[in-house]
Amino acid sequence: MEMFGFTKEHLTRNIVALALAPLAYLLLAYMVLVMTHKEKR
Amino acid sequence: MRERASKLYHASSYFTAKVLWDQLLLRVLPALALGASTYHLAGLREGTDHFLLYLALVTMLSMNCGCVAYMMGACSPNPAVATFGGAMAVLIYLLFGGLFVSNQAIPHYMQWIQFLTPIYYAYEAMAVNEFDGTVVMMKVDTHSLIGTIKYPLPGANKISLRTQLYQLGINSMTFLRRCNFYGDVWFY
Repeated sequence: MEMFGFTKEHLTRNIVALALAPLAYLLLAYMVLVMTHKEKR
Repeated sequence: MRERASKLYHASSYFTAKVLWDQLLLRVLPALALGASTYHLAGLREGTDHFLLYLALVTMLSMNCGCVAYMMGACSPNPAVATFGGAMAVLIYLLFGGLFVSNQAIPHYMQWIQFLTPIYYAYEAMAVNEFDGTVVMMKVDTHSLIGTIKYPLPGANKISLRTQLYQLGINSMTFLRRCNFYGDVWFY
């Protein structure tokens, strides 16, 4: 596996990144949506 | 829209319900179905732990892409800008994901972009999941790049290295560049 430059440290890092990134994206989307939302009548 | 205008619920309620159901029905379940149906068809590595990790990675990548789309939609002033931004994001993700362009081929002043790319993380994790503990030994004719590769493939000795790499699901140029860069493939 090392011949590809990949290590198990990268595996752990990648899984953590993939698990946490959606939360960050959703939090940003939520903040933008709620804070900039204006009632339309 | 009429429910919102009548103040039946807050924007956060709409957002939460939309995200939860969209993630489950459009991101998680299709990714699980795709991963479960293609894993063994593609001849990927045997073993329940590898299979489950692959499913988790496919699902997380799908969720990442969905959440990026949410974020871009929320940050965009109108659907046209969101569509353009989404298309640009997909192009950047594909370019820096590590599949079409080797990471070592990217100029180092641009390599930070790959760390913003979910495909890069998923691709690298899938490669680790597939090749962890695998020893690849190959015999390469340096003039024609035709050789043999010792890997559990039936009849692998009689086909070209490029064909074998494609059977392994590896982009051959990426593979060869990485071999040259890291230099720890046993050529003999």
